[in-house]
Amino acid sequence: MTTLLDVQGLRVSFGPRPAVNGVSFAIASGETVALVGESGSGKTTTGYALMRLLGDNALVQGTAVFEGRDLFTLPEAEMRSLRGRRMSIVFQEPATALNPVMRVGDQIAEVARVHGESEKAAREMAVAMLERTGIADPARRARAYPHELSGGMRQRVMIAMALLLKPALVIADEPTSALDVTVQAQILALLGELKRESNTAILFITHDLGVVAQTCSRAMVMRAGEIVESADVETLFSAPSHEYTRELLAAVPRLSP
Amino acid sequence: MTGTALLQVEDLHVRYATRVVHGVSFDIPRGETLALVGESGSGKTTTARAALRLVEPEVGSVRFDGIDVRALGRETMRAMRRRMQIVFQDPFTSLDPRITVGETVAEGVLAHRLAGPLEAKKRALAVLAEVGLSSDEFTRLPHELSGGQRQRVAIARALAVDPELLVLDEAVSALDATIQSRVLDLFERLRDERRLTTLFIAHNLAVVQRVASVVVVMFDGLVVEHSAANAFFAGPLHPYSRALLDAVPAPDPARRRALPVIGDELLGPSAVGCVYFNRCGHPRKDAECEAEQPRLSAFADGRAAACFKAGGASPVLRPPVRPLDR
Repeated sequence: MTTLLDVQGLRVSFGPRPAVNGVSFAIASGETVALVGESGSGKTTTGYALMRLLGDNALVQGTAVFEGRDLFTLPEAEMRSLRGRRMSIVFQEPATALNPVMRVGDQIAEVARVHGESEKAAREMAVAMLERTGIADPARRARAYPHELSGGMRQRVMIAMALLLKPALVIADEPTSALDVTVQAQILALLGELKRESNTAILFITHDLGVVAQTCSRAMVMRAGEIVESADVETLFSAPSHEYTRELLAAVPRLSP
Repeated sequence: MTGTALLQVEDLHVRYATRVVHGVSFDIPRGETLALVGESGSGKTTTARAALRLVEPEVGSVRFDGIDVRALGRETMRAMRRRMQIVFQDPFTSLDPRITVGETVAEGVLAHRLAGPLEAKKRALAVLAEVGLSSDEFTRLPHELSGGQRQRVAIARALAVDPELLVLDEAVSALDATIQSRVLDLFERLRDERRLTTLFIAHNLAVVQRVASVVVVMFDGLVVEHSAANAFFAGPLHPYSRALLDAVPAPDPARRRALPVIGDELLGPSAVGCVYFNRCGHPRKDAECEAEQPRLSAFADGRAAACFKAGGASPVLRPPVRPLDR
């Protein structure tokens, strides 16, 4: 397995106290890795820092070498050429992440247009991708506005946008936390199918250890801006080494047989 | 109908915005927890709101402690509200952004004349401590708190007036697991100490299993299963209940399983016949299901389901789907 992303000494501060305090990890091509933690642990900030979506008030230090280049020193124009094409992000709340006044098909097609596809080709790709996500009558659905779709369908649209150009890395930030459990199961299945097709690696940011156990091969546990434990999921769940991981595992609600 | 039920809901029909609820009935005995589960749009929240008369039902009766709630005048209803509290999922919209956490929690105590200002403040501090917030938070405004902290303020506000019935509408769903577990400990203690009665609306069945004695499953405005919790978790009767249980991701990589795709929300409820027909994966579903909506019928072990095929031994089959890394 080749290393796709190598993060060393990532620090992010918005003020005197760092939100992310010296985080290092690597992700291999095609791998699904969880970044687990509770609210305020710094997991989302880590994901946003990698996509360079944090505002000017964020001080980002460290390196993040992605496909041989440090994301933190790339000129913005080159970063734009990576976003959507080589790396993309799925947000927790598609209702706020999607443009409310733009048809969903156009929003998906825009990703392809920005990266050089013709209007017509981009539109066809968008409809084909919508169909791929299981949405019936995709040509008609492409003309819908986000508010006309259910939460699950909107998240399918987000996933269609994120995976349209078969990126090498997707950062999925709590992609199913706002959805019903039955819909969550389908969205996870869809994400799994699409990532396998394009050998995309996923950094799965979540607080849900159930989702981690079911979908990821490796997990990193974050608390107060630091990774306290990193292990393959089998080890993490059966023999957690850090006290905090044990605490998290003990608190997870689980169905008893 | 039992004489000891604190809340009795019978044949409730509600039409509220685009939501419709058809003929929902249940009793909650004092000190018990009834869970209302189902996907968004199934009518859980509308049912709860109608039970508290926050929306007016079209048909049906609601009795609280034997009193017909729908017949109450404005003043008596106001006094009654102290005894029945509700906590919503999104505390941002239910907390006044201009008043501090301490005032928010003390407000109800003062409004219902349960105590004077000093005593109300003491009470607010005590109940905030119970939900895991410190006196530091007392003078903060809602926007200065995290989502989890705000949710705990909303829970503290409801508990401060010493209610007999607490409706939790996905109130613990968004909390981190460690905090959620503490809040559930608190409810369990209040249930045992004060016989607090709870209507618990949630989508996480693992949490429901911990707290509920009865599970009511709703789909498209109808009750499709109404079972004692033990029997429900041992083996639910309705295929939709089964789909809900199967969708809970087990926090155990050794128990990875195919993620169910049947129960697809992209297929809407059926317009004729059984509401669940379109999505149903039951191997014995047939023309009868397609033609008619089954009534809720009683089975052994305190279970009831609205399914023609309920109670049979056939398992619900579904095609396998590989998880992300398998």
